[in-house]
Amino acid sequence: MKTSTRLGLILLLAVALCDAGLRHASAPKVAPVALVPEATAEAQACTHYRVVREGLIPMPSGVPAAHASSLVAFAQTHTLHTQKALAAFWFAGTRESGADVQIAASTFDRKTQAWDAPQWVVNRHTVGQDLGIQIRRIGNPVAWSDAKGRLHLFVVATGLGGWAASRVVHLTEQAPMQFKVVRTLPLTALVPAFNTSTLVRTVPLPMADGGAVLPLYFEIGIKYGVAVRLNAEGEMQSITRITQRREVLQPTLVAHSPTHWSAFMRDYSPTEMVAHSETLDAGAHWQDVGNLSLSNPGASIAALRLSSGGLMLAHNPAGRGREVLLLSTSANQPLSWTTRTLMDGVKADEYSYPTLIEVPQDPATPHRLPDVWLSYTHMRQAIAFKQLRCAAGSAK
Amino acid sequence: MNGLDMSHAVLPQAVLLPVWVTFSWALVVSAVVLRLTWCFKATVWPAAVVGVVMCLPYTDATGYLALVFQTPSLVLVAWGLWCWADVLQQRDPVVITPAPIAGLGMLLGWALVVDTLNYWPAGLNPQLYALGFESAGLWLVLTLVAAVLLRANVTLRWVFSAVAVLAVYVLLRLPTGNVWDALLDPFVWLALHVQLWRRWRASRVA
Repeated sequence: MKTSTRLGLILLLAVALCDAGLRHASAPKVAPVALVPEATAEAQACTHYRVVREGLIPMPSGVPAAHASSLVAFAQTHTLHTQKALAAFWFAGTRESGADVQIAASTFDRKTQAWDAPQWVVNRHTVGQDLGIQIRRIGNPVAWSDAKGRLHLFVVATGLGGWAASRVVHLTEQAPMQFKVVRTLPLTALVPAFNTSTLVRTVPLPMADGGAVLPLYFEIGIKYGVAVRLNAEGEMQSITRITQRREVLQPTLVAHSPTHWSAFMRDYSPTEMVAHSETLDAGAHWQDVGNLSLSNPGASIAALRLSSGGLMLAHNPAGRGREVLLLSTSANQPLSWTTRTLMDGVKADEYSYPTLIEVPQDPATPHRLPDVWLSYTHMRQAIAFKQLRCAAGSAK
Repeated sequence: MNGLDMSHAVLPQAVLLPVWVTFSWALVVSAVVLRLTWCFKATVWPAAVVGVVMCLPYTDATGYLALVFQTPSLVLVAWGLWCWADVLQQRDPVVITPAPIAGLGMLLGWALVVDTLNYWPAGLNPQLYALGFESAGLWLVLTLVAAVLLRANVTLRWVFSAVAVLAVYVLLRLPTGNVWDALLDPFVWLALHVQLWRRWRASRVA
């Protein structure tokens, strides 16, 4: 054996041992299962939600366009928790994909029971400066609260070529509602696409270890969903493709049990039905399981597992499209949907891109069922919200 | 997951990334300029000036390159370093990549194309890009490199380059935390195609 060969083999072995040591040092400590609260008998009795508050979230002045909102509840450990219940994030500017688009945010005040004046939290110049990369446009934001209650934002940022050249930038909260860039998430290979064409839209699925599974999607002609596992600090742990279909995007995740999850996806095919994939091993492997019985006109959807144990889905119907916003509920398993109309407009109206989260009613009364908060794009001009509460009589 | 878990991703330190973007692109572009200008005049100054200017904060030239191409692979950066080393030590540039490695690199690139476009046959869903974040991906590369070391006649320079690239990847996880991104970018992939095509053409002439 030549000296160079012998030396090379020894060095390769050293590299392998070094990798094993470093990975061992950074290995996550907790099993990756979803957080699924036990539904009490009282909670299970809740079968109907009524709207207790609704309206528009205030827009920054002089800004005509808004789209793609995301909601996040402040955790008990967050500095703002005693004053604010939740925060909304969305992109706003002169138009979608405009150079002046920024991420706006507003918080819901517990005392006044109203949304605070909006503030700008992210713009493309500061993102580019922090990354050392020029950013042409920014778009969809998604917010998440980690195990320590610190907020994270995942924001779509484009290079050359519009949304097809999108990358997802990860930011974390440095001070209350002030964000700093961490990195561009590595989601597709440099070959062939220079890590482009991946976007984010829907809220993460919370995990038992304080981490989350962030749903994302690839979109450049071909469209499919992927899931990124985040640890309790928000660091990316793995990435998994969740479908073998090539015309579905914007997955929204719900957990039926700690290891049995579903991904419902926006359908871009002529079928126009909500697409469905599921995993039985906590996201290690996914299978396509056809479509839900709910139609979908190629519009974003939002799903939520309720504390009552059931599922809720906000969506637009095929045929009418984004002028109608529906809310469907189902028992956890088997899925059987009951649908009601939330918004019914006329042609060219738009009530789209919904987001659903649960927020505790009041920190002083943790035994009460949490409220469901829904936000959505209102006419592409503002972000609307609805606060839904378990109807009196359907739960004690 | 537990302490023995080798499948989780380890990403580069965020603080390294802006520095890496600036210096890696400055090195690669200056090496390209060096190779182009050296043919006409044996001077390093144009390439050196380009490299330094690209590192200056106000030009933001590397930021625009990163806008389109994000980051070069470690292999491309190693190529840039060898370009400079060859010129400074007055050696002729040489192709050192063994043909089996070039062939495997080309195939890996095509497999990543299929993976990115989600065009694996139904029932086969290998999650190839995700594998690059795991130890299994790195160990696969290490095994293949070891096999080439044992079977092919490789130069000491290639051995050191391969080990250095893999060691930098393991220690710093640059450029993205994924071993495929450390080895391949579209420029390297294209160069591997050209190298293999030239070998094939030369073998036909011979």
